[in-house]
Amino acid sequence: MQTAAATSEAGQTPDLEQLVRDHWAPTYRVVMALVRDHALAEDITQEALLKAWKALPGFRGDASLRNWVLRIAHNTAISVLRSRKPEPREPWNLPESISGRDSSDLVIDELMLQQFQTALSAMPASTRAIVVLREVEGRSYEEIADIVRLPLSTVRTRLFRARKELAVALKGWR
Amino acid sequence: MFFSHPSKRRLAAWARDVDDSRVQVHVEQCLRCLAIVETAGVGDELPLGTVLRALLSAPDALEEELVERAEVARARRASLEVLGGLVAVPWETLRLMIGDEGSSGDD
Repeated sequence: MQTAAATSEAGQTPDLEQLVRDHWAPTYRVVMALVRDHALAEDITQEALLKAWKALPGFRGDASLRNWVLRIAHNTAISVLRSRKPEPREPWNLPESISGRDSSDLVIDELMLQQFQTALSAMPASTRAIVVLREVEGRSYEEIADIVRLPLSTVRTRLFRARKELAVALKGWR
Repeated sequence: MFFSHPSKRRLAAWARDVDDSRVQVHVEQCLRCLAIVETAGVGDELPLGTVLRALLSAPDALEEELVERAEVARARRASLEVLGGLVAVPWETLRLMIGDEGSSGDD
């Protein structure tokens, strides 16, 4: 199957469907970490992927396509958050209850999840994005700095502090 | 703020659990000490990625929904571009008829 990147490099019209299929999940996760609202995250994910597809002919390839899409999604979500200032403080609006969802060997306890959500909500949106880019998407510090447009030292210190705070929230987990 | 770097023991204590605002302020401004506390592996034993992945997981049907919605949005934008082009035709015609082709009017 030809990927969106390959299609773009070949100079043909890139395939929107392939771009969405290749990148929707990480895009949604980063956007959801920023906006904490499932319905809004869906809309922003769609908008960001459409923006990326339209801008794809100008993609120079100096970052990976995934990082480039994530940067567009991050910028789009930050713009939306800025237009809604101050950031709503209500709890996370999740698509469905995820308590007790079994993920690999870990059964997630609802109380632990609530503590985790509270700790995560207390962080600035951009720090939440940094945590997800590192812990879920496995991006390097340099890649994260490029995606969120922050100095490398800021990314490292924010990530360290966030891990420390989240470790407290997960203290009871064993 | 420290005038010199905190000791490794103090850094390690802060990285583990100890609430020490002076160390925190210092570490946020000193990459050398940040590198030291990063090696302490804070949170490495915790399933941060797994919990985050569960918290941020999307409904299974979202992929198909996004594909569909993106195609609809693309088609709608394409239609608007065509419409925009049609609206522009009378305007361009009028502009040509009155000779407004960027002349400065100086002569």
